[in-house]
Amino acid sequence: MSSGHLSEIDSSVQSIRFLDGKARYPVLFLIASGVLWLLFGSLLALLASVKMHAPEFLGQWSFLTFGRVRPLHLNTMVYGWASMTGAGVALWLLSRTLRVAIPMRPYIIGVTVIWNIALFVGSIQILSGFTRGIEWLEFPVSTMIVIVWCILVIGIAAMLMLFYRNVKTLYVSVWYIIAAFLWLPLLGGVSSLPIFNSPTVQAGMNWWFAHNALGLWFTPIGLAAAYYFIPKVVGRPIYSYGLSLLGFWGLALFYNWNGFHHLIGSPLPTWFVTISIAASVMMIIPVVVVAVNHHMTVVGSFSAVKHSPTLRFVVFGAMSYTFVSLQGSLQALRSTNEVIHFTHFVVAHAHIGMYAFVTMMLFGSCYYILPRLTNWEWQSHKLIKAHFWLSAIGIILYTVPLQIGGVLQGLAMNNPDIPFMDTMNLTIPYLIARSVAGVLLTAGHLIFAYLVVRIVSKVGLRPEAPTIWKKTLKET
Amino acid sequence: MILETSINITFGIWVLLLFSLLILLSGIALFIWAYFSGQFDDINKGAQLPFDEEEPPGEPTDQIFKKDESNNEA
Repeated sequence: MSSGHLSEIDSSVQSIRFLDGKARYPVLFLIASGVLWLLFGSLLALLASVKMHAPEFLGQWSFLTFGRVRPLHLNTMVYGWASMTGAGVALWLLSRTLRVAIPMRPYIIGVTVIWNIALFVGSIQILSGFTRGIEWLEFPVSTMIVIVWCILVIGIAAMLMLFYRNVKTLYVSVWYIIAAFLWLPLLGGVSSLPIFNSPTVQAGMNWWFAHNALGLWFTPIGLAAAYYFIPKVVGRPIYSYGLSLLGFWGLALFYNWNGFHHLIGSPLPTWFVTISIAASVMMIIPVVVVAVNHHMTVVGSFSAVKHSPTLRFVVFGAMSYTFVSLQGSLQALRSTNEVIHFTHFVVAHAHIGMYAFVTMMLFGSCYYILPRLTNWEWQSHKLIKAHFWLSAIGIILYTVPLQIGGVLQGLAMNNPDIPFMDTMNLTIPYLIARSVAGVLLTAGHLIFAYLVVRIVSKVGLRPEAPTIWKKTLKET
Repeated sequence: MILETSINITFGIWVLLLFSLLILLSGIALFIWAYFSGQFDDINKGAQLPFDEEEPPGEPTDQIFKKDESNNEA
């Protein structure tokens, strides 16, 4: 373990306290906005979930019907909560790993305001029935372009940080984040082109975009956070830096071909879908590489995981990433897809990806970042633990029954002797379990939002002995 | 009018493949740049980057629940 490279960092100017001070307002604003949309999205999720087993619930108002509430849940969670918080976390990680203060700070705050307005306008549009009707892309193109433009501006700030960095070697998190900021504007721009109007082509574009938004935007940010926080909290460098780079380039080569496995059995040419199935199976390589690397870094440091709110969430997220990706590779096979396609299994799978992996990573990141940005302590350790267990148990209660129900549903739908209504009734207990899980998750989000409000507004007493930073670094 | 243009399946999938290829090429371009700018010269150096003099390796951070166990309060 050599520490010779430390001399290349001029820590008198680029101390982490200085960098965190510069990061304070743009990152806090992005995270706080994300948490606001998380609460709104949770409310919509509960409504949509209850409507699956009680269709009449609040059905008298057109703007609260399932066809509007459910798409808006997806869009606020994806472009509100996960993208905004993810962008904030990504900027902070870049600042730390490139040893440079976040540039363009007034512009970042400005585009975050515009981004919030776009989400608000888009919410009204979807609730009043103006939608593109394409999953993950329900916001009208004009609204979507504004959001993509906001991410592009933040991406320019990220590129500036890369050019003016104070370290020569790029950490693996930087590779992931820079790639994410390159890829998302491309995905958003291409999906907004007015050429994909014929039905089959539109479906192809839809899943090319939707799967890549997860794989080339949220996944890189989530993995970047894991690669920073696991070594940082455990206090031990990543097990194999070479393997981590192999994982990154594996993702860059294989992931962007995956989306068309959503269209097995569609009118798209078979060879075209087969490319996706092959690429989905190839994803096993980068996923196993990442899993081995994270496991070998954490192994033997269980007490560090137990004592850190950040690592509890991050390790949960990292394990979910391995699980959801390997499950995804299996789901892409034609024989499996024959059963689970068009069932609740896929919905549960998507939530393991976006919640158990991405959202848990973002929660963990927030628990590390916010005390350092605000110079304040979390209000209550008990509430953090309550949030963790509500989220962890909630998402397990969400996904396990729904996937079991999804398989039974798929087998029943493939059996021509079973009437369709029987198949519907079969799923109801699992859908009720999902609503119960949704209540747990929402309760966790309310606790998290309360903690964020308390730490950002610095209300309450500051604990006498700060445990987060060392006493020598205590002064701001 | 361009807004009403739609394309057939064959052309559509080639457009999508083209953009997929662009993403793949961006990955390869990053790799070539990394190779020639010396990012891989000392492959283990990067692993030390999260640490510095202020927070050196060997010291866990963020252990805020530890206090709960020592004096048993939240």
